[in-house]
Amino acid sequence: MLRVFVEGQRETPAISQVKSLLSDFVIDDIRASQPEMEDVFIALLSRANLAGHERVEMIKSDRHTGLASSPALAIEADKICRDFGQFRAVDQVSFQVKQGEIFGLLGANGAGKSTVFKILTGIMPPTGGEGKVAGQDMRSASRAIKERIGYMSQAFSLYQDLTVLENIRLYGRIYAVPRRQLKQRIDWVIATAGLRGAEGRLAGALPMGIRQRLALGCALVHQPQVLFLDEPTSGVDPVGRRRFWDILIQMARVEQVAILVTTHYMSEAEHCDHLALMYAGRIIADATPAQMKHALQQAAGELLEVATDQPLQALKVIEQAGFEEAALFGTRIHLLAKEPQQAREQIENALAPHGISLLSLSPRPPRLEDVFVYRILEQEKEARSQ
Amino acid sequence: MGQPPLVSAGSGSAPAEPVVRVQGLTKCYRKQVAVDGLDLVVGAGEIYGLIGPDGAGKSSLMKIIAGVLTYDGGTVEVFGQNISSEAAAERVKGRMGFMPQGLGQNLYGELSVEENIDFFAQLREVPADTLVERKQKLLAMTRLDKFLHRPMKLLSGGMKQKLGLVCTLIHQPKLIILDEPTTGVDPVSRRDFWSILTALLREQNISALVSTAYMDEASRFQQLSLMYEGQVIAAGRPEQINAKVTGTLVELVLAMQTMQTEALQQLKSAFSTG
Repeated sequence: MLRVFVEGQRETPAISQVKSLLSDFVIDDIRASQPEMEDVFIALLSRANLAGHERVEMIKSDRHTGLASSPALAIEADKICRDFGQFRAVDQVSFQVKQGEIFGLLGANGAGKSTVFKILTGIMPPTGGEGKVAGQDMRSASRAIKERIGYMSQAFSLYQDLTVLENIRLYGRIYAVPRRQLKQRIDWVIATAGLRGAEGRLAGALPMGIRQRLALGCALVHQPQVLFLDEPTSGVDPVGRRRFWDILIQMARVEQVAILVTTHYMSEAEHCDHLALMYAGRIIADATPAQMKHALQQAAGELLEVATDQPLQALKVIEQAGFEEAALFGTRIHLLAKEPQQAREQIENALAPHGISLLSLSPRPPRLEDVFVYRILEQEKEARSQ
Repeated sequence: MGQPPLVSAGSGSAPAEPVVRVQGLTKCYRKQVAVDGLDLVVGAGEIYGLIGPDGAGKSSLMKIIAGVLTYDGGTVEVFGQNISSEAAAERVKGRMGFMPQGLGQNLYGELSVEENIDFFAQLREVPADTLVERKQKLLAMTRLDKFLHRPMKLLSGGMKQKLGLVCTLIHQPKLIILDEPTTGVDPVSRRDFWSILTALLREQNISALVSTAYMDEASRFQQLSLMYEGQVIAAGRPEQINAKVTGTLVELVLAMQTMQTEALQQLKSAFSTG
């Protein structure tokens, strides 16, 4: 999915402006919505001329492979299990990632995401199940797999007292990039990751955003087919994260790299082509972001935003009226309701005896955060009732 | 239309004094300007948000207000007290709680949940009988009561964050300053954290100054400042800030996904904020 903020335009002109700009492309689906705080922030920055508007350089691909009509599978996980003594950390996990696809693995801390990563990258053997990464069998060809994958964690693992250039060269050697290709690959990394001008700076002295792009560049120096990113943007600002994702999209679409990523930023999960949600070692949902939101509406109803004149007291009353998962956002209350009309009456009736006025109640499109929280709480409830 | 206050004020009461008032604040590290002529007012009973990228000056500002960092220019008032000297800062510290950035950063890994809380209680000179009651309440609220004897280092990220909050609250401060409490924490734990903060606000009329790098948490605040390079580029209620920029977010799916980069490039050159 592509998203663009059209400043100063209402919905209809904004859509036609984007359509005419992209008249050379076939558009499957296009929709308009209100901008989010991130769009506002970036717009305010550029208005104040503060955001460095460096363009992401378009790099011609080194690969000349034609695009197959049905892309090959980059990752096939088939009923993977991992036990630690009595504890099953990963429980029959199956999913598939195609070349050129960005696949997000979501879940609470401790849900088993990191263990799945360790198994697929060959760091840890599974207790059961099978898997292929970059066409190689996980059990027998872990060395071949390591040559075909790139890995970046939230720790970045850069050498702080080496320069940008030295870090890239070092990773090139670790990944055994042939000497005659190394210079070209280093140039490619510097251009792709937007590191021009920073080549001679020490990695330890770089701002977070640039350091993160350097770590990404190092993970890409050997042209991997599959890229594993474990919370790559923790602690990076929105402008920096957007830039990072521009690079990822380019990697996936132009270079056909398959990307498996974990993140706690639900706004990032929106960029993924496909998502799997993990809970207690199992995958409990596996779909596109749009499908997940649709499924939430089917299961739990509409997301309603409630405004009252006394938000804090109202929250308590609404919780007691049976909407236990109601949550306060600023001065508004969010809740899920299957029958919005009935919920409205219920809320009005509950608030009235407390002298609280209902100012407005309107549906809102659910976000991935709502999906995540609902699905996990549903699992927790089920676990408690057993 | 006016914005409802979070807590309805009693009839005839005068508007409460702000808890924090910062004017023209400047802070430099050698030649680097971290905070550049900044103004900020936090009202009583408010959850005030500081949002901005790394290096925007959020942490410096919070440390200055918490009285643990000196500054170079401007005035900082906390509870009406001008924090111009270490002695002045000392006078308000008892009414303040500060949780630095980094999960469990201010806690002791080898100590258990309870030992960490007791340690902070002693530091803050909480009387023993009050402590028992307060500890029980905060532990129940954060659902940490089942993990009393677990060493801090073995807690999950979300649990460390909650323990940090309990330790920050143990002396019943009136103002808490939380530096990026939700960074690196999953969405369920984050929502949990916000509901605890909301409950505290409701029951104890606490004010909170909270920073975050998650833009989508902006809607959690009653008031917020967007910070960038030591300055506030916008301040107000979330909907006021949203109203400063008019426009539409357009999302689209191409028939050929492989064309996405080219389309993105065209969009980026046409719309500078793409």
